[in-house]
Amino acid sequence: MIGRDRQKGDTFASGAQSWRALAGPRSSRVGSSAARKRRWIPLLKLFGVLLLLLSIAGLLYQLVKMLDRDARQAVASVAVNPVERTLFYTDGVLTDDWLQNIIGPQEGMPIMEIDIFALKAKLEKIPQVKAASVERVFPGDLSIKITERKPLLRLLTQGSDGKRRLRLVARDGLVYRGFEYSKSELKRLPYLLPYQNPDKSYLPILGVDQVAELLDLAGNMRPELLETWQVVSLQYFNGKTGLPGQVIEVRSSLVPKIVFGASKDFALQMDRLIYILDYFKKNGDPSLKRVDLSLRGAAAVQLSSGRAQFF
Amino acid sequence: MSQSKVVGAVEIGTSKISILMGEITDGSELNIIGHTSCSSKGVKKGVITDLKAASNCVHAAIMTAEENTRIRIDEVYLAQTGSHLQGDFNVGTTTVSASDSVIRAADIEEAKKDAKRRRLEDSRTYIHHIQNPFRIDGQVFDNPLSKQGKRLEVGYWSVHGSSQVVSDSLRVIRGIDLDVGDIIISSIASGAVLLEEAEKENGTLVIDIGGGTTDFVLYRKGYIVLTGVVPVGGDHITNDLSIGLRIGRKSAEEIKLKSGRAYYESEDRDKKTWLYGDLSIGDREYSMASITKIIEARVSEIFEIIKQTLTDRNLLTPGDIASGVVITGGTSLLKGIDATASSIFGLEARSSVGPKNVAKELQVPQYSTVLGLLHYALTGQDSAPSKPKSGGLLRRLSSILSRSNM
Repeated sequence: MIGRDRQKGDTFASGAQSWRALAGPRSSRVGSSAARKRRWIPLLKLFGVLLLLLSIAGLLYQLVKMLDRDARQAVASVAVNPVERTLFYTDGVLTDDWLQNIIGPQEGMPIMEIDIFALKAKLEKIPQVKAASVERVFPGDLSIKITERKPLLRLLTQGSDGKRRLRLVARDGLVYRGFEYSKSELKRLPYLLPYQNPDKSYLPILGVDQVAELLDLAGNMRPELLETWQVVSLQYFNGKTGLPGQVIEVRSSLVPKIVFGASKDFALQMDRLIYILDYFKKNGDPSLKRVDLSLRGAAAVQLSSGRAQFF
Repeated sequence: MSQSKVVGAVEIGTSKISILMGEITDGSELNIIGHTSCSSKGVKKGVITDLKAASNCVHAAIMTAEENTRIRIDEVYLAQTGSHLQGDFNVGTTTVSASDSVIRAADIEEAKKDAKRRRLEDSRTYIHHIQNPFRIDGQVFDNPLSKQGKRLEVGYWSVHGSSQVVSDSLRVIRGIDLDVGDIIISSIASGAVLLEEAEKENGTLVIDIGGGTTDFVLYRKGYIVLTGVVPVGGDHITNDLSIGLRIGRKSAEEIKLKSGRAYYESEDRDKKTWLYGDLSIGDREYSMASITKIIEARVSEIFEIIKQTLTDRNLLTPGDIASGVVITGGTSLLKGIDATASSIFGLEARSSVGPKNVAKELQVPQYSTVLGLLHYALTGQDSAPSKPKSGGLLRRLSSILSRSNM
């Protein structure tokens, strides 16, 4: 670097007669090919860069436009594809015919014109259907998946016309009309006698979850015993386990009345029942009229002969 | 954010064009980033005689420098020489205005204004107003502010040149779309970088012998008291040898560089020197006496003219030029030139070795003028700092593109 020492005494010339006033007109400049090159090259470079940027912008615009057009074409081509198959999946008993009856034939319709949300809503309005999903599987399939409610009990109802109708009770207490169940399957289900409100109405049915627990336990501990159960009565159980005297009554082919405490330990009560039945089977197999398991710390058995025995 | 400006120092000489590029950062630091030089055309004795040829040559040199560094020059500092340059010493005086005789800034300005009042002919233009020390009632002061006195004087060495010649130089630079930041005469530019402050204080005569002209500047007590141009340079020595020895200019230049000496000595009578020294066709022997006598005559002439100028102005007083004579420029490389100068001026003389704090290839006398231009680009001639130039968007974009793609 060159030193910074300033010359002693300034040397600057200014004023009207200094060389600084000699700036001639632009036209008086003396040009050359090098000067022209120096003048134009940066402008050409600038122009080149601008052209490049414009080209890139143009290419990007064309690319976006092309992609957009392709996407539109793809959607349009898919939109006109007809439904070729309706794929139906269920974890229960409902059939393709049932589905066709509900939603009607979908085959041949443009796949994008099908309102899958309306179909789903329509299916989920049916009480037997717990959940439904409807999907388009391109190019031409409509997939419908259904999760069904499982029946726990049978319920005989009487309509205003006096006709008796068979309804089913699901584990969540919902009463529904069952479709596509086989007779043998329905025959296995005990009937329900629901709790009746003071106004004689019985809906909603409460306490079904306790019944389900009891039936599951019975099925696990002694399946052949469960098969003898014909009626489950909730006439003395309104679903509130905290109240005194709440019992679930079971009518079986072995014992006309088995009384379970609704708030008691079902496993203990089942143990006692099995013990009592086994005991009497070994001791002459007398006819039993009533087994009351709802008592505190004991079970009372009433024989048909009128004799009573405590266990 | 630091601001930087790229400055080009341009010397349009008779035999060559020299360009140095420097980057000034934040107005306080200068780094030399490139240099180039090439043969000159259209210039005689430091004056442009063929505008087109000179422009082609200068523009090509500037383009080369810019292409080498990949940076565009923002502003040019231009050296000026030639016999059209003349100087006058003018004294400005003023009576101190305050009743307490204390000199105020207004008094100083008044004296300066008075010193610069002289009007030139319309064909002349000022290049420098070089301030000399102040005098208060005859006593010398560097800064008279707040001193007491009745009469304030200040001397100015004013350098002026032909408006046409200066305008031609400007037209050449402006022809490549560059602005001229300042014009500095060659001798002042060279002196600025070759001398230490102490040498300027003690008094030094700087002689810059170029191709077609010889520029000189005399420093006394730190001030520039005299500048001048002798329209004779190294090319005249070559020309004399060419005529005297009856050889071509190229051969004359070669023999000057190889065997030349600035003074004759009696032993030269018996000495011969070969032109090339390789016994090739055309190689001939020449008498050393002829060579040295021819050179001595021309060198002595140059020095005698300068001596006469100093004597005429009563400035050749050895006591005031204690640091002697410093010779620079291409011809300062001539053997014995310092001895010749010493014998003519009766002063100590030495050939300059160039400033030490620059790259080695620039530590040669040929670059002392352009280095001096960069020195002025950094320090300026006056106390007012130069404003950074604000370029337009297009200019800045072009500059960025040039820097990145050149």
